[in-house]
Amino acid sequence: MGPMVYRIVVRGELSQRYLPAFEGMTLTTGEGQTAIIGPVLDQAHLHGLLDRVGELGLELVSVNRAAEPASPAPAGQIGEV
Amino acid sequence: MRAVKWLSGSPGGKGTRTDRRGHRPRDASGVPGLELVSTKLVPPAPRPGLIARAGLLSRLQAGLDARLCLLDAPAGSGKTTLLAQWCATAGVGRVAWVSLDESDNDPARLWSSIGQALRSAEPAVATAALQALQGTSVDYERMVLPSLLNDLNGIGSPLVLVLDDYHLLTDPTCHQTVAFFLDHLPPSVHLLLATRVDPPLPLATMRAKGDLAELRVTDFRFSDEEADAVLNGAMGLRLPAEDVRRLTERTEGWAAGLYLAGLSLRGREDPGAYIATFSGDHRHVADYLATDVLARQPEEVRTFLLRTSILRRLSGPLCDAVLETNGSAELLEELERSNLFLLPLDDRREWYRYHQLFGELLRLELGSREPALVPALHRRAAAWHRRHGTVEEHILHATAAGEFTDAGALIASHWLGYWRRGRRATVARWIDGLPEEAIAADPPVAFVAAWVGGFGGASREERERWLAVVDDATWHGALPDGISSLAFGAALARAALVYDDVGSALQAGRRALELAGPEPSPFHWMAQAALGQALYLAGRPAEARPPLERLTARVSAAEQPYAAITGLAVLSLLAGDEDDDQAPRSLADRALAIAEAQGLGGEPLCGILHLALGRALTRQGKLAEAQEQLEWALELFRIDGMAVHRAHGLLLLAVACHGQGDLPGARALLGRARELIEPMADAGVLPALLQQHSRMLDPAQRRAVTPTPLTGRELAVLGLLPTRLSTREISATLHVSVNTVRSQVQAIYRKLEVTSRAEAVARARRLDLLPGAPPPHGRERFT
Repeated sequence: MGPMVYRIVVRGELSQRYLPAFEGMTLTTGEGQTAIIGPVLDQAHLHGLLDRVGELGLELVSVNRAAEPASPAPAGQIGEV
Repeated sequence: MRAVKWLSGSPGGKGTRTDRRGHRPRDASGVPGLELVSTKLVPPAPRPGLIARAGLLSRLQAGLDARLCLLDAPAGSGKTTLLAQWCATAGVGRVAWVSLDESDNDPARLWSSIGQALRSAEPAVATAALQALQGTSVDYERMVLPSLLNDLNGIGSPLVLVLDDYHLLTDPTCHQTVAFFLDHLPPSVHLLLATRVDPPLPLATMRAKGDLAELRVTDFRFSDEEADAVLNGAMGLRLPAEDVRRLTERTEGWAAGLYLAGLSLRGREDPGAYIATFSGDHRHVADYLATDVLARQPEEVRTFLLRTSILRRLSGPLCDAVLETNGSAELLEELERSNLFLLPLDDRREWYRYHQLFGELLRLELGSREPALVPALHRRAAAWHRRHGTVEEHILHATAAGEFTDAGALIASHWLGYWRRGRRATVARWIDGLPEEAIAADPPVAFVAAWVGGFGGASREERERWLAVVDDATWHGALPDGISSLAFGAALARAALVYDDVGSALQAGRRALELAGPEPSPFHWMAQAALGQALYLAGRPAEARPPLERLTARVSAAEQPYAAITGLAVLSLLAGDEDDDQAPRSLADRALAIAEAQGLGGEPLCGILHLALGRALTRQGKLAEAQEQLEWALELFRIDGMAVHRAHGLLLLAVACHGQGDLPGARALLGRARELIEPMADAGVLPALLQQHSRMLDPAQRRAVTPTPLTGRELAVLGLLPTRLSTREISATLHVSVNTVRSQVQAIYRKLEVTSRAEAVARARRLDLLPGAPPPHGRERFT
């Protein structure tokens, strides 16, 4: 099972200087929120990211799995041989 | 004047290890030991000018009527500040304070801290608990905590134990022991936890029973009036009420945000305009403000703050070394005076730390401004700690600098000292910090990883992966930790941790013995003990016994407790097999006495002694005590490396259960043993034992068995088995040697398909080989 893409939303717009705190993720800001999006290997990785949210004094808004495996085969190709 | 936790918090934020002089003297084994530093155990003093949050304080005081009081709010909410104020309030009674840090994720260290904190409030308590904690391995729920709770039960006036930064604890054993402690807390003692996340305790139940008082994030929010007292009162900013209101709204009363805003506003020409811009901005409060506060510092100060943010604690000389500069001590004092995020850790202003949240923001800024410099800074910090012999921080910074060879060399030379003092979790954390490639490239470290990992529950595959590194190594001579050679270390690890393969353990034990060198070598006896255990499990008692008898006669228990305990325990089990009445108990008791004297109670390697004692007690008919010992053994055997022992323990526990009349319980235990044993690579004697015990519990099968006839001599011995005569006495009565009686007894057992004297008697009576007398209490007992 490959990594899942997660979308972690926190209150407040974060500058890009927060990027190293969430290694391997991207930060997208807007409307007073920041979406931290990227591949998450497993539950331990996810909890590690959420711990960082707490350590940095950020307010968690939501956590969602945005997509199935991070680099899926293009739709329609699976099973077509 | 510090209104919020931001600057007035306690020492002991994340990862802070404090110590008064900064350089702990190296002791003989190079281990800093468990001695704790007073700053960790002292409540922070509130600074003059702090605003009084009277409402919160009175709610906190009222909350202390409950068994547990929880301050549960995010970073920078002002939890520690509130506690500091509360501690300084007259009439709060006695307080025992611990500022937790990451290294407390080791139950040995955690309970040492708590024990010492309690003693500072109530000198008469915790003596025995602290003594017990000096051992290599400790059983918390049997030894440390009951003793501590018992002491606390006797104190007069109420006492509050405060654990600050409780969220830094992640170790499950730590949580489990705190839960146990809380569950048994005497009424005069109250526990107060300050944390950012809900602790894993039964909060809902406690809430329902009224045992829990809580102050949560909304309780900590500053009102407009409180914000005014901070900004205009304590910080002297003279802002109009409207601006104060806007700041409170924008920061949502978050203490850290308000204080940062105050710092950023200090000295500004037009605070109103700044506040208007800030209020209309969507950026995160701390992100926005910290950048501004930092930008307003002189270049020298900014550089200092950023580059020293990699340190968990700061001193003048350490900062000088990291920055390759002079005069850091003066700068530190100046920063403290100007309320710049720095907290003193001692009265002498020698050690400091950054406020935890601000430290995080500084590290982020450093990482984005000068990422290439970060490893170099860690390297300099590691070098400084090397010179001062502070092993743990040396390892931490060397690892962070990517200097894995340096970190590995330190781990290899210090791990055994930490391990022997029960700091297994600390060693495991060092290993976890290294990338796999670094471990694979360093055979002595791979050996530590295999050993520590195996006893921490690692799978057989994991252990073998690291031991393969050791096997391939071309390392000659003794290891840094004093173990005679890598090959010996690997063989011993394979013999002591049997996993599911008795044959391999036996082979490894023989190899360890070859490599250990002749008798005066301490390694000889380590190898003999591991080999003796493997021989016993493989069903080769005749080979196991003589070397173990020599071992128990020659080895000093104080010098080689594991070898002595294993030897005695295996001899006890062997004596039990030969149906000796007295020896099994006395041998196991001797092993127990050594384990207790050496503080090894919670060690997986000592499980075998509880196994032996449980079996001896079963034989004596003390079934409840036996069950307790066997359950204890099973608890110590729950790691994969002890799977064969665990299965053996389940079989013996089934016997004790059956003896107490619990047939379904005994069957269930046998079922669990079978599940474990069947897939094993080589379970040694266990399949045969399982079969014997299963037959015992299944009357239908028993009746179907026609026993092989006994010889005349065997019948003569059988005739004496219902008596209380010992093997030796039987031999005297029949005028034959002890060994002859032993082998005849074994033959009787084999033919009757039983495993003990009592069983043999019961079975013989049913088969009319012995005269009458129904089994006691109308049911069969066997031990």
